[in-house]
Amino acid sequence: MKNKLLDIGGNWREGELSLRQVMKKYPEVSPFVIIKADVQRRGVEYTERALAMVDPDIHLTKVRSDYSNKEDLTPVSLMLRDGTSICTSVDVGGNTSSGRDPYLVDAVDGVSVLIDEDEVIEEVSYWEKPDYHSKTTSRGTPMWHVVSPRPQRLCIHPHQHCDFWKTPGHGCKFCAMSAVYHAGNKPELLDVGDILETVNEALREPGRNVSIFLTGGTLCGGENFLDDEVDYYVDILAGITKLFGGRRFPSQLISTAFSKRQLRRLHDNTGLTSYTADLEVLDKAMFDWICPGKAANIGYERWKERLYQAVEIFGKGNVNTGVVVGVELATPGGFKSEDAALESILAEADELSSNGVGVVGCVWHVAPGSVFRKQVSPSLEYYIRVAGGFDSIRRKHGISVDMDNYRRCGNHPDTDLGRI
Amino acid sequence: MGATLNEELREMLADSGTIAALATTGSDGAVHVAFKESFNCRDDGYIEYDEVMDTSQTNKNLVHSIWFGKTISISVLSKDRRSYVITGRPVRAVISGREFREHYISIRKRLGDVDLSTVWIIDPISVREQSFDKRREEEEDAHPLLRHLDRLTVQDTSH
Repeated sequence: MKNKLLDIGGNWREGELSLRQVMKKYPEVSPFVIIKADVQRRGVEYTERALAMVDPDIHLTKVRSDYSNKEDLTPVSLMLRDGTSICTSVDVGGNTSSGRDPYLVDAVDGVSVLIDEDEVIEEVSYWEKPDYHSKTTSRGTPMWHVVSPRPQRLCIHPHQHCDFWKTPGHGCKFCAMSAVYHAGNKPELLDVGDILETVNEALREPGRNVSIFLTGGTLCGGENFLDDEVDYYVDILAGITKLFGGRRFPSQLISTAFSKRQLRRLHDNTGLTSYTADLEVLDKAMFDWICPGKAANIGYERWKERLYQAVEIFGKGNVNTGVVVGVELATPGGFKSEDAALESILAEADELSSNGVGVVGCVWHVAPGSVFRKQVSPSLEYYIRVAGGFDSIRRKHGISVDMDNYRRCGNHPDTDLGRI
Repeated sequence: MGATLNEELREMLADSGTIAALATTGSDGAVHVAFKESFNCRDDGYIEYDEVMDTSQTNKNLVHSIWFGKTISISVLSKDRRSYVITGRPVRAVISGREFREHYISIRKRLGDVDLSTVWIIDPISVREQSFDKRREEEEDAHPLLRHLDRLTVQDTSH
């Protein structure tokens, strides 16, 4: 399926600053962050030479998570020389270009490199797989089906579908979770025993993990709205907490925005240290348009209020919200210019942060299988301006980046800037 | 790779009695100097440095250096007062994988319950001996005009 940029003749490069031009215009921004943002935006393809450098015994090639279910021999993702990750997308249908030419990963003199228009841009390496990855649980479940690794984080996606998608028109428009779920043979819910067994095994590996992360689709049910989701996470997190002798441990949950009572229960009954509820887009009208399930069931202002309540419970620096940077420029409901979008979302990020809530951005990689699959993501320059803005706002309000720094998610150009 | 470390310097870096100071600069231009123990010269000529703290000023400055191509320097002083300065450039930050794990296990064996943030791989650009006698000889050979005359005068001590 062609998108608009390809439809206009593939001359997208003429309409925006190139990677080198952005680097020159923003010399104070890490070139690694700029490369990362552009690679996440445009995606990658691998040459045969690059794939020949993949060793399945060493490198991570198989992954199952909320947005992925792959078993081919391409690397799951990449790492740059400065230790920051590039979370490259694996799309249903194989299109990774987001409307622009993807970067090429090639091998030159035995080194994996990113190439664009025949120019070697930067060296990259492939993520390595953890020890637990090839093991199975006592129930016979492959552990890689249960916990997906990042270079230093264990990721658990207990609910691999989303109840909002079960109501027609209520799925978030940028999200491909439902498409990935229906394309694969994944269970909707993971077994808690499998999760605990896999985490226990993964924690044996010295020096591998700095954080345990949970997220998944919304579970609406229960005595009160979302109680099922809270119950599920409490069961898992309480079990993991026992592995740490009942103490709190570096961890993050991204969930639907829970009520204060639910947040209190989560905090008091588990060792969870940080909490995230993703607004996805920093504008009420666009939230209503892009995230109709969240809007109909909770609403933008109540979502924010619940984040503020989470700060009261988990503490400043331990609560943030994620946004899919760029969807605010989707058509037809989005901002009409990048300048207008930037001004608006930074003002909203500032308000959130003034209430103790950090804001972190992901690069919007237009995903096949999403409602927005024919949309076009913004320019690279926009991503760099947003990343700089979010970083400045976090520093202004004294919000620590630790809970979501470069070693954890690795998907946020703005938190990479917090390294110095 | 710009410079090769000689065997004497390799041995000095490996000697636990050697004092080594790592000088880095940050985005504000301020120089930060910290005494470090965990340098190692690899077989391929690169220098490894194990940084235990993710938010130390040294680590932040090393990130700044690799981002913007800035140099760092390592001053090395042996127990017998021989001294070298290595100028280098960080070329890789290893934070996970097999190589990281080896360092993680090794440093915990050596220092006890410490963490490891990053294994920095440093490309040595230049090496200069800074031992006092050596430097004094070099200075006077290279700049014979830069000295006080009383040192050169043939003093008449008969009076």
